[in-house]
Amino acid sequence: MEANEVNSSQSLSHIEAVASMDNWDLFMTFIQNQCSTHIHDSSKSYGVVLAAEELISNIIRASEANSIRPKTVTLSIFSEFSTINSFRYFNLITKDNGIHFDPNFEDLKVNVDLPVKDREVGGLGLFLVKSSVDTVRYQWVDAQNTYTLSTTL
Amino acid sequence: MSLSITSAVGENHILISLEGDVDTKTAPELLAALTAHDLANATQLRLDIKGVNFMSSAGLRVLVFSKQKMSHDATVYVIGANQEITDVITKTGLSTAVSMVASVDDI
Repeated sequence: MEANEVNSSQSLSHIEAVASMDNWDLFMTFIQNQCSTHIHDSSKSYGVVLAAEELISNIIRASEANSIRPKTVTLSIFSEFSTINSFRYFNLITKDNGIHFDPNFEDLKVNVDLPVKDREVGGLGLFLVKSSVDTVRYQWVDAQNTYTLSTTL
Repeated sequence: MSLSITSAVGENHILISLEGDVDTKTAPELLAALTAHDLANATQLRLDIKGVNFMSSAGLRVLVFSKQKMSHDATVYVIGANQEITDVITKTGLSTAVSMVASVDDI
């Protein structure tokens, strides 16, 4: 058996809608309900909601910025449990068919020591995604941006 | 996913009190409430967030914007942040730019 092999996974729930601010409350209510139901550590639950909020915000912004075909991106969100090497995880997975964008989390660097007067707004959101969950993974699968946010239970 | 904002101007400060969530949807409302004031000439901004459950980077950006608009010696007080919001402000390094206090009595 290889390290980090997923020994088992259990689908919980999913939602799918157009990636638009019109559906913001729909997406966030789903995420908050899934996290509060399945993650009993409130700090970890907050971290997943925070990371997911940042991703959803980016996906919707990119969708609505497409002036040729606005609001044609579909966003799906899945929740699941998985077990890896006997550790149990809660995973929140987003899939969108918008423009291919790899945030390259592995190499993401944000200087949080920079004085506020010298700060630019970019990067803070992705930094929060990476630092608020145990692992975040980006994949381009079946022409969809696929993000997996995982936290141990 | 809604935010209630009340605003008041004191003798030496601007007080903004919030209840709800500061996220991508509601942060523009907070920005509008702040920019309605003369931040450049304010010496003290008090942001009362005792009633805030959630703050995303959109809210943090509004904090950064406010601090950048104010003079160098002006102070931004963040009042009553819960533990999760305090942790986020700390890990993003913004706790060096704002003063975190538990209540207005600590100012």
